[in-house]
Amino acid sequence: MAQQIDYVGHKDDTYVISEGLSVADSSSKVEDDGEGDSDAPAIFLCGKCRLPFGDSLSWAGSDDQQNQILLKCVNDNIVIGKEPFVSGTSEEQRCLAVHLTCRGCSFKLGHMYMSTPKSLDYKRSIFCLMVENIESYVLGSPDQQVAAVDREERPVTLEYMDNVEQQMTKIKSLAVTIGQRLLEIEVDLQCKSGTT
Amino acid sequence: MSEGKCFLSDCEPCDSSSQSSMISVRLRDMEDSTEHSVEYEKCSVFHCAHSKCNLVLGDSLGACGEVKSLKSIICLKISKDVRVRGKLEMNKEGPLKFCTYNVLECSGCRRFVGFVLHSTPHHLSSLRGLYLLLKEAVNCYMLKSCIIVNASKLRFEHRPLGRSISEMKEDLEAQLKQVNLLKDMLDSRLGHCHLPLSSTVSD
Repeated sequence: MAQQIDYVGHKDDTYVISEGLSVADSSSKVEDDGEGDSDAPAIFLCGKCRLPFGDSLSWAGSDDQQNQILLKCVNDNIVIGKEPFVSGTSEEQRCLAVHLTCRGCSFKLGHMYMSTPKSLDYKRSIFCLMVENIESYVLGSPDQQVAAVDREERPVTLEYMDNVEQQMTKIKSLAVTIGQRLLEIEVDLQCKSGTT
Repeated sequence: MSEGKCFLSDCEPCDSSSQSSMISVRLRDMEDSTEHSVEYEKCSVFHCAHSKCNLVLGDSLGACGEVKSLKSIICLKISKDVRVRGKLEMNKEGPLKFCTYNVLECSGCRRFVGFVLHSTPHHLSSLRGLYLLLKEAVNCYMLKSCIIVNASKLRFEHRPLGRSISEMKEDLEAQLKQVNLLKDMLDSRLGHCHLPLSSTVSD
Protein backbone atom coordinates (compact mmCIF):
# COMPACT_ATOMS: atom_id res chain seq x y z
CA MET A 1 0.00 0.00 0.00
CA ALA A 2 2.67 2.41 1.08
CA GLN A 3 4.62 1.46 -1.96
CA GLN A 4 1.73 2.28 -4.23
CA ILE A 5 1.29 5.76 -2.78
CA ASP A 6 4.96 6.34 -3.24
CA TYR A 7 4.66 5.27 -6.84
CA VAL A 8 1.76 7.58 -7.47
CA GLY A 9 3.67 10.42 -5.92
CA HIS A 10 6.62 9.67 -8.12
CA LYS A 11 4.45 9.60 -11.17
CA ASP A 12 3.01 12.99 -10.27
CA ASP A 13 6.49 14.36 -9.91
CA THR A 14 7.59 13.27 -13.31
CA TYR A 15 4.44 14.72 -14.76
CA VAL A 16 5.14 18.07 -13.18
CA ILE A 17 8.70 18.04 -14.41
CA SER A 18 7.69 17.26 -17.95
CA GLU A 19 5.08 19.95 -17.86
CA GLY A 20 7.68 22.40 -16.62
CA LEU A 21 9.89 21.41 -19.47
CA SER A 22 7.21 21.90 -22.06
CA VAL A 23 6.46 25.35 -20.69
CA ALA A 24 10.11 26.29 -20.93
CA ASP A 25 10.18 24.87 -24.42
CA SER A 26 7.24 26.89 -25.63
CA SER A 27 8.56 30.10 -24.13
CA SER A 28 11.90 29.62 -25.85
CA LYS A 29 9.99 29.25 -29.08
CA VAL A 30 8.73 32.82 -28.86
CA GLU A 31 10.14 34.47 -31.91
CA ASP A 32 9.10 37.48 -33.79
CA ASP A 33 8.97 37.54 -37.50
CA GLY A 34 10.45 40.97 -38.10
CA GLU A 35 8.30 41.78 -41.08
CA GLY A 36 8.47 45.59 -41.00
CA ASP A 37 7.75 46.30 -44.65
CA SER A 38 9.63 49.42 -45.59
CA ASP A 39 7.32 50.11 -48.54
CA ALA A 40 4.15 49.91 -46.46
CA PRO A 41 2.02 53.03 -46.67
CA ALA A 42 1.40 55.33 -43.73
CA ILE A 43 -1.77 57.06 -42.69
CA PHE A 44 -1.69 60.59 -41.33
CA LEU A 45 -3.56 61.76 -38.25
CA CYS A 46 -4.15 65.04 -36.53
CA GLY A 47 -1.34 65.48 -34.02
CA LYS A 48 -3.77 66.52 -31.33
CA CYS A 49 -6.96 64.46 -31.61
CA ARG A 50 -5.60 61.68 -33.86
CA LEU A 51 -8.44 61.96 -36.37
CA PRO A 52 -7.14 60.31 -39.56
CA PHE A 53 -7.34 62.49 -42.66
CA GLY A 54 -5.18 60.97 -45.38
CA ASP A 55 -2.56 58.44 -46.37
CA SER A 56 0.62 58.10 -48.36
CA LEU A 57 -1.18 56.48 -51.31
CA SER A 58 -2.07 60.03 -52.35
CA TRP A 59 1.47 61.25 -51.77
CA ALA A 60 2.43 64.27 -53.83
CA GLY A 61 5.88 64.95 -52.45
CA SER A 62 7.46 66.78 -49.55
CA ASP A 63 9.25 70.02 -48.80
CA ASP A 64 12.03 69.18 -46.40
CA GLN A 65 13.09 72.78 -45.92
CA GLN A 66 9.69 73.81 -44.66
CA ASN A 67 9.08 70.43 -43.04
CA GLN A 68 5.92 69.82 -45.01
CA ILE A 69 4.39 66.82 -46.70
CA LEU A 70 2.15 67.22 -49.73
CA LEU A 71 -0.96 65.12 -50.35
CA LYS A 72 -3.18 65.07 -53.41
CA CYS A 73 -6.33 64.27 -51.47
CA VAL A 74 -7.58 64.06 -47.91
CA ASN A 75 -10.98 63.35 -46.37
CA ASP A 76 -13.42 65.78 -44.81
CA ASN A 77 -11.64 65.69 -41.46
CA ILE A 78 -9.63 68.56 -42.88
CA VAL A 79 -11.49 71.82 -43.09
CA ILE A 80 -10.31 74.14 -45.83
CA GLY A 81 -10.34 77.71 -44.61
CA LYS A 82 -12.29 80.43 -46.41
CA GLU A 83 -10.14 83.47 -45.63
CA PRO A 84 -6.99 83.64 -47.77
CA PHE A 85 -3.87 85.05 -46.19
CA VAL A 86 -0.59 86.21 -47.65
CA SER A 87 2.07 83.57 -47.32
CA GLY A 88 5.81 83.67 -47.86
CA THR A 89 8.54 85.69 -46.24
CA SER A 90 10.42 86.79 -49.31
CA GLU A 91 8.95 89.03 -51.96
CA GLU A 92 9.67 86.36 -54.51
CA GLN A 93 7.58 83.65 -52.88
CA ARG A 94 4.67 85.75 -51.75
CA CYS A 95 1.28 84.25 -52.62
CA LEU A 96 -2.18 83.53 -51.25
CA ALA A 97 -3.05 80.49 -49.17
CA VAL A 98 -5.81 79.26 -46.87
CA HIS A 99 -5.47 77.40 -43.58
CA LEU A 100 -6.19 73.71 -43.21
CA THR A 101 -7.60 72.78 -39.82
CA CYS A 102 -8.75 69.56 -38.16
CA ARG A 103 -12.51 69.09 -38.05
CA GLY A 104 -12.27 67.39 -34.68
CA CYS A 105 -10.25 69.91 -32.70
CA SER A 106 -9.64 72.89 -35.02
CA PHE A 107 -5.89 72.34 -34.71
CA LYS A 108 -3.94 74.00 -37.51
CA LEU A 109 -2.53 71.24 -39.70
CA GLY A 110 -1.20 73.13 -42.69
CA HIS A 111 -2.33 75.20 -45.62
CA MET A 112 -3.25 75.14 -49.26
CA TYR A 113 -1.86 77.59 -51.79
CA MET A 114 -4.63 79.10 -53.87
CA SER A 115 -2.19 80.91 -56.14
CA THR A 116 1.53 80.48 -56.55
CA PRO A 117 4.50 82.10 -58.28
CA LYS A 118 6.33 79.87 -60.73
CA SER A 119 8.73 78.44 -58.15
CA LEU A 120 5.91 77.10 -56.00
CA ASP A 121 3.68 75.67 -58.71
CA TYR A 122 4.24 72.11 -57.47
CA LYS A 123 2.38 73.06 -54.29
CA ARG A 124 -0.63 74.77 -55.80
CA SER A 125 -4.09 73.42 -54.95
CA ILE A 126 -2.80 70.44 -52.99
CA PHE A 127 -2.68 69.82 -49.26
CA CYS A 128 0.50 71.04 -47.57
CA LEU A 129 0.70 69.62 -44.06
CA MET A 130 3.12 70.57 -41.33
CA VAL A 131 5.00 67.51 -40.15
CA GLU A 132 5.28 68.80 -36.58
CA ASN A 133 1.50 69.05 -36.26
CA ILE A 134 0.57 65.64 -37.58
CA GLU A 135 1.14 62.04 -36.59
CA SER A 136 1.56 59.01 -38.76
CA TYR A 137 0.98 55.30 -38.48
CA VAL A 138 2.69 52.81 -40.81
CA LEU A 139 0.61 49.78 -41.76
CA GLY A 140 1.77 46.50 -40.29
CA SER A 141 4.07 48.48 -38.02
CA PRO A 142 6.56 46.11 -36.40
CA ASP A 143 5.98 47.31 -32.86
CA GLN A 144 2.61 45.61 -32.67
CA GLN A 145 1.84 42.93 -30.12
CA VAL A 146 1.34 39.46 -31.54
CA ALA A 147 -1.23 37.05 -30.11
CA ALA A 148 0.29 34.42 -27.85
CA VAL A 149 -0.68 31.47 -30.01
CA ASP A 150 1.62 28.65 -31.10
CA ARG A 151 2.96 29.08 -34.58
CA GLU A 152 1.21 25.96 -35.84
CA GLU A 153 -2.13 27.16 -34.51
CA ARG A 154 -1.84 30.68 -35.79
CA PRO A 155 -4.57 31.54 -38.25
CA VAL A 156 -3.50 33.08 -41.55
CA THR A 157 -4.37 36.72 -42.11
CA LEU A 158 -6.95 37.85 -44.66
CA GLU A 159 -4.18 39.53 -46.60
CA TYR A 160 -2.27 36.24 -46.82
CA MET A 161 -5.43 34.50 -47.97
CA ASP A 162 -5.95 37.09 -50.71
CA ASN A 163 -2.44 36.44 -51.87
CA VAL A 164 -2.94 32.67 -51.98
CA GLU A 165 -6.13 33.18 -53.96
CA GLN A 166 -4.35 35.39 -56.45
CA GLN A 167 -1.60 32.84 -56.93
CA MET A 168 -4.21 30.17 -57.42
CA THR A 169 -6.05 32.03 -60.14
CA LYS A 170 -2.71 32.54 -61.88
CA ILE A 171 -1.95 28.83 -61.67
CA LYS A 172 -5.45 27.98 -62.89
CA SER A 173 -5.20 30.15 -65.97
CA LEU A 174 -1.74 28.81 -66.65
CA ALA A 175 -3.08 25.27 -66.37
CA VAL A 176 -5.78 26.10 -68.91
CA THR A 177 -3.20 27.35 -71.41
CA ILE A 178 -0.99 24.32 -70.84
CA GLY A 179 -4.06 22.10 -71.25
CA GLN A 180 -4.84 23.71 -74.60
CA ARG A 181 -1.27 23.25 -75.74
CA LEU A 182 -1.31 19.61 -74.67
CA LEU A 183 -4.51 19.05 -76.57
CA GLU A 184 -2.96 20.53 -79.69
CA ILE A 185 0.08 18.32 -79.34
CA GLU A 186 -2.12 15.31 -78.83
CA VAL A 187 -4.20 16.03 -81.92
CA ASP A 188 -1.05 16.67 -83.88
CA LEU A 189 0.50 13.41 -82.74
CA GLN A 190 -2.64 11.51 -83.57
CA CYS A 191 -2.73 12.98 -87.05
CA LYS A 192 0.92 12.10 -87.58
CA SER A 193 0.50 8.53 -86.35
CA GLY A 194 -2.57 8.27 -88.51
CA THR A 195 -0.65 9.16 -91.63
CA THR A 196 2.17 6.71 -90.99
CA MET B 1 20.77 13.10 -88.38
CA SER B 2 18.91 15.16 -90.89
CA GLU B 3 15.90 12.87 -90.55
CA GLY B 4 15.83 13.42 -86.78
CA LYS B 5 15.86 17.16 -87.22
CA CYS B 6 13.09 16.93 -89.71
CA PHE B 7 10.99 14.94 -87.27
CA LEU B 8 11.41 17.50 -84.48
CA SER B 9 10.35 20.39 -86.63
CA ASP B 10 7.42 18.34 -87.82
CA CYS B 11 6.25 17.99 -84.25
CA GLU B 12 5.91 21.72 -83.77
CA PRO B 13 2.77 23.13 -85.28
CA CYS B 14 3.75 26.41 -86.80
CA ASP B 15 1.30 28.70 -84.95
CA SER B 16 1.87 27.52 -81.39
CA SER B 17 5.50 28.40 -80.78
CA SER B 18 4.27 31.74 -79.46
CA GLN B 19 1.93 29.93 -77.10
CA SER B 20 4.78 27.79 -75.79
CA SER B 21 6.94 30.82 -75.17
CA MET B 22 4.03 32.52 -73.43
CA ILE B 23 3.68 29.54 -71.14
CA SER B 24 7.35 29.62 -70.27
CA VAL B 25 7.22 33.36 -69.62
CA ARG B 26 4.26 32.95 -67.29
CA LEU B 27 5.93 30.05 -65.51
CA ARG B 28 8.97 32.19 -64.91
CA ASP B 29 6.70 34.97 -63.70
CA MET B 30 5.16 32.60 -61.14
CA GLU B 31 8.59 31.69 -59.84
CA ASP B 32 9.70 35.29 -59.58
CA SER B 33 6.72 36.45 -57.58
CA THR B 34 7.62 34.50 -54.44
CA GLU B 35 7.65 37.64 -52.36
CA HIS B 36 4.04 38.69 -52.38
CA SER B 37 2.89 42.19 -53.00
CA VAL B 38 0.21 43.60 -50.77
CA GLU B 39 -2.74 45.43 -52.24
CA TYR B 40 -2.56 48.38 -49.93
CA GLU B 41 -5.51 50.07 -51.63
CA LYS B 42 -7.75 47.52 -49.96
CA CYS B 43 -6.24 47.93 -46.50
CA SER B 44 -7.70 49.76 -43.57
CA VAL B 45 -6.49 51.04 -40.22
CA PHE B 46 -8.48 50.36 -37.03
CA HIS B 47 -9.14 53.28 -34.72
CA CYS B 48 -10.83 53.50 -31.37
CA ALA B 49 -14.39 54.54 -32.21
CA HIS B 50 -14.86 56.50 -29.02
CA SER B 51 -15.37 60.09 -30.03
CA LYS B 52 -12.30 62.24 -29.42
CA CYS B 53 -10.04 59.21 -28.85
CA ASN B 54 -9.23 57.82 -32.33
CA LEU B 55 -6.20 55.92 -31.09
CA VAL B 56 -4.84 53.40 -33.62
CA LEU B 57 -5.75 49.90 -32.41
CA GLY B 58 -4.35 47.95 -35.34
CA ASP B 59 -4.74 47.44 -39.07
CA SER B 60 -6.23 45.03 -41.54
CA LEU B 61 -2.86 43.39 -42.21
CA GLY B 62 -3.17 41.75 -38.81
CA ALA B 63 -6.80 40.67 -39.26
CA CYS B 64 -7.68 37.02 -39.80
CA GLY B 65 -11.46 37.15 -40.13
CA GLU B 66 -14.47 37.79 -37.98
CA VAL B 67 -16.70 36.01 -35.48
CA LYS B 68 -20.28 36.86 -36.33
CA SER B 69 -21.72 35.59 -33.05
CA LEU B 70 -19.38 37.80 -31.04
CA LYS B 71 -19.59 40.74 -33.49
CA SER B 72 -15.83 41.02 -33.49
CA ILE B 73 -12.78 41.01 -35.73
CA ILE B 74 -10.16 38.31 -35.19
CA CYS B 75 -6.70 39.85 -35.03
CA LEU B 76 -3.31 38.22 -34.88
CA LYS B 77 -1.61 41.53 -34.28
CA ILE B 78 -2.79 44.72 -32.64
CA SER B 79 -1.10 47.96 -31.74
CA LYS B 80 0.78 48.42 -28.49
CA ASP B 81 -1.83 50.98 -27.46
CA VAL B 82 -4.33 48.21 -26.76
CA ARG B 83 -3.90 47.03 -23.20
CA VAL B 84 -4.74 43.52 -22.03
CA ARG B 85 -6.34 43.80 -18.60
CA GLY B 86 -4.82 41.30 -16.18
CA LYS B 87 -8.03 40.34 -14.42
CA LEU B 88 -9.85 37.30 -15.81
CA GLU B 89 -13.55 37.95 -16.39
CA MET B 90 -16.25 35.38 -16.91
CA ASN B 91 -19.72 35.22 -18.38
CA LYS B 92 -22.66 33.06 -17.40
CA GLU B 93 -24.88 34.03 -20.30
CA GLY B 94 -24.89 35.64 -23.70
CA PRO B 95 -22.63 34.66 -26.57
CA LEU B 96 -19.68 34.35 -24.20
CA LYS B 97 -21.54 31.91 -21.94
CA PHE B 98 -19.13 29.79 -19.85
CA CYS B 99 -16.08 31.63 -21.19
CA THR B 100 -13.31 33.27 -19.24
CA TYR B 101 -11.45 36.10 -20.91
CA ASN B 102 -9.19 39.11 -20.50
CA VAL B 103 -10.62 42.45 -21.48
CA LEU B 104 -8.83 44.56 -24.08
CA GLU B 105 -8.97 48.27 -23.43
CA CYS B 106 -7.87 51.29 -25.39
CA SER B 107 -5.00 52.90 -23.54
CA GLY B 108 -6.20 56.33 -24.67
CA CYS B 109 -9.74 56.35 -23.29
CA ARG B 110 -9.64 53.14 -21.22
CA ARG B 111 -12.80 51.96 -22.93
CA PHE B 112 -13.60 48.28 -23.52
CA VAL B 113 -12.61 47.50 -27.13
CA GLY B 114 -12.42 43.71 -27.17
CA PHE B 115 -11.21 40.61 -25.37
CA VAL B 116 -8.86 37.62 -25.45
CA LEU B 117 -10.57 34.32 -24.71
CA HIS B 118 -8.85 32.23 -22.09
CA SER B 119 -11.17 29.24 -21.61
CA THR B 120 -14.07 28.44 -23.87
CA PRO B 121 -16.68 25.81 -24.70
CA HIS B 122 -15.92 23.62 -27.69
CA HIS B 123 -17.28 25.87 -30.43
CA LEU B 124 -15.03 28.81 -29.58
CA SER B 125 -11.84 26.91 -28.81
CA SER B 126 -10.00 27.91 -31.99
CA LEU B 127 -10.27 31.55 -30.95
CA ARG B 128 -8.41 31.18 -27.66
CA GLY B 129 -5.45 33.48 -27.31
CA LEU B 130 -6.33 35.64 -30.33
CA TYR B 131 -7.28 39.29 -30.11
CA LEU B 132 -10.95 39.87 -30.70
CA LEU B 133 -11.81 43.51 -31.37
CA LEU B 134 -15.45 44.47 -31.01
CA LYS B 135 -16.64 45.79 -34.34
CA GLU B 136 -18.71 48.50 -32.71
CA ALA B 137 -15.69 49.84 -30.85
CA VAL B 138 -13.63 50.13 -34.02
CA ASN B 139 -13.69 52.72 -36.79
CA CYS B 140 -11.91 51.84 -40.01
CA TYR B 141 -9.95 54.32 -42.06
CA MET B 142 -9.91 52.93 -45.60
CA LEU B 143 -6.74 53.68 -47.50
CA LYS B 144 -6.90 55.33 -50.91
CA SER B 145 -10.53 56.40 -50.52
CA CYS B 146 -9.80 58.09 -47.14
CA ILE B 147 -13.28 57.14 -45.93
CA ILE B 148 -13.91 56.34 -42.26
CA VAL B 149 -16.64 53.83 -41.41
CA ASN B 150 -17.55 51.85 -38.36
CA ALA B 151 -16.30 48.27 -38.57
CA SER B 152 -19.81 46.92 -37.98
CA LYS B 153 -20.62 48.06 -41.51
CA LEU B 154 -17.75 46.07 -42.99
CA ARG B 155 -17.22 42.37 -43.53
CA PHE B 156 -14.05 40.56 -42.56
CA GLU B 157 -15.13 37.09 -43.62
CA HIS B 158 -12.50 34.63 -44.57
CA ARG B 159 -13.07 32.28 -47.45
CA PRO B 160 -12.17 28.68 -46.85
CA LEU B 161 -9.46 27.73 -49.33
CA GLY B 162 -9.22 23.99 -48.68
CA ARG B 163 -11.82 23.03 -51.22
CA SER B 164 -10.51 25.10 -54.08
CA ILE B 165 -6.98 23.88 -53.36
CA SER B 166 -8.06 20.26 -53.62
CA GLU B 167 -10.04 21.06 -56.77
CA MET B 168 -6.96 22.58 -58.30
CA LYS B 169 -4.91 19.59 -57.24
CA GLU B 170 -7.32 17.31 -59.07
CA ASP B 171 -7.09 19.45 -62.20
CA LEU B 172 -3.31 19.42 -62.15
CA GLU B 173 -3.19 15.68 -61.56
CA ALA B 174 -5.46 15.15 -64.55
CA GLN B 175 -3.10 17.26 -66.57
CA LEU B 176 -0.13 15.24 -65.41
CA LYS B 177 -1.95 12.12 -66.58
CA GLN B 178 -2.42 13.73 -69.96
CA VAL B 179 1.27 14.60 -70.16
CA ASN B 180 2.21 11.01 -69.35
CA LEU B 181 -0.20 9.77 -71.98
CA LEU B 182 1.39 12.05 -74.55
CA LYS B 183 4.82 10.91 -73.50
CA ASP B 184 3.78 7.30 -74.05
CA MET B 185 2.37 8.20 -77.45
CA LEU B 186 5.56 9.97 -78.38
CA ASP B 187 7.69 7.08 -77.12
CA SER B 188 5.77 4.56 -79.13
CA ARG B 189 5.89 6.81 -82.15
CA LEU B 190 9.64 7.28 -81.80
CA GLY B 191 10.08 3.54 -81.44
CA HIS B 192 7.85 3.15 -84.45
CA CYS B 193 9.79 5.71 -86.39
CA HIS B 194 13.20 4.20 -85.80
CA LEU B 195 12.49 1.13 -87.86
CA PRO B 196 10.82 2.54 -90.93
CA LEU B 197 12.92 5.71 -91.04
CA SER B 198 14.62 4.63 -94.21
CA SER B 199 11.29 3.95 -95.80
CA THR B 200 9.97 7.44 -95.02
CA VAL B 201 13.12 8.91 -96.47
CA SER B 202 12.74 6.84 -99.56
CA ASP B 203 9.14 8.02 -99.84
